[in-house]
Amino acid sequence: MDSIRISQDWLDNLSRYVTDLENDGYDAAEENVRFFHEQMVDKARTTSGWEHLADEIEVWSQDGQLWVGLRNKAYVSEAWLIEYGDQENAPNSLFRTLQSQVGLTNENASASAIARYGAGRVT
Amino acid sequence: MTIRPLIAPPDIHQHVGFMLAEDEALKSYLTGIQVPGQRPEDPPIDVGVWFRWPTGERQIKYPFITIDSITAEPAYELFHSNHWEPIVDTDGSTLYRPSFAPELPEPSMGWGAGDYQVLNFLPFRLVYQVNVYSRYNLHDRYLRSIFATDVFPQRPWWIGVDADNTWRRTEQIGYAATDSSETNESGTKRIFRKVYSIQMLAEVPQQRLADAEFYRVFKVFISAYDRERLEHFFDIAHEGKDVPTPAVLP
Repeated sequence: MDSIRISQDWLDNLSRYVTDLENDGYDAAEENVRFFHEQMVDKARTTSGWEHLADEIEVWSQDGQLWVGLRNKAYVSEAWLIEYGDQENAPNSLFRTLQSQVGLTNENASASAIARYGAGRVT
Repeated sequence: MTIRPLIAPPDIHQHVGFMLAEDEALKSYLTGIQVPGQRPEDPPIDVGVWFRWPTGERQIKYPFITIDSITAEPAYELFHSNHWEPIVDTDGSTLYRPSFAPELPEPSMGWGAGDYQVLNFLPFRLVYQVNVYSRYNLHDRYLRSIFATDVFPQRPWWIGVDADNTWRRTEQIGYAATDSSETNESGTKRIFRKVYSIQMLAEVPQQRLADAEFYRVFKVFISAYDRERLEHFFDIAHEGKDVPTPAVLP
């Protein structure tokens, strides 16, 4: 029976390469989360009613999902009132108007992926 | 306004113009909903529609609907980079145009020498909050039911705009229940409030935006006929190389 011998060095190099890719992926994900958080806080600072809550906005991971919002329960009911308004107060939406920020984050993620892994194949 | 004359201000009396036409279309779309009376023999009750909370001099009659305009933002990710585009490109291809008209008369300078051009329509995203108020539990459930199935179906739908006989793609982007209670001289009463967030896509013709020669885009159309040319662009945009003079371009 024929056999192929693979050197230990080659396997070590492959393993190192895969680990680097994995670490790169984690770094890229963290960078994008940071980018989105900055975008959102910036928007909160310039959205009427949200200025004083901007620094309370957090990003966290829970149950395998990424969450963006206010974790401090002391601010939740106030944030709810600002977001949806009531009879007396018109709504000043922040969380429902993040399309531009999500779009910018997507663009940032694409640019970051191209910088890390190249532009991909063009055929 | 002293800087320059406005390009296309909306007409508040005719309810036409950017945003006013869409506001009117949404109100018209929601007008005409009825809920059954509390007993089978009672006549159906009309559900009123207001922008924002009804003013103090109106008698508030439940159930009713209010509309809040949340935002009107450019949908930059749907913008593209061409300022003007020929209907037929140099390679004979045409961009998708639902109203493409093959019977257009020959341009004054003749085919090949002259051409028709189409200005961009720049998409904007209008976000509305639609609040549905009820006093009676079964009316709340009835309205919740018909909103989920008929009024705001669980897929994008279209709202007709009478101002220009066009349609606006609309979709529901959120729902929240913010029930509360109201205390007055006759005691405490429940108020059921259901909040729907919807977004409507509208387009503004490029020539109606001031200084529309320049606007922000996320994606750029590049005439890349071959891989070499695309790599040229990549070198310039991502690697920081100098822009070659047109004569050097392949």
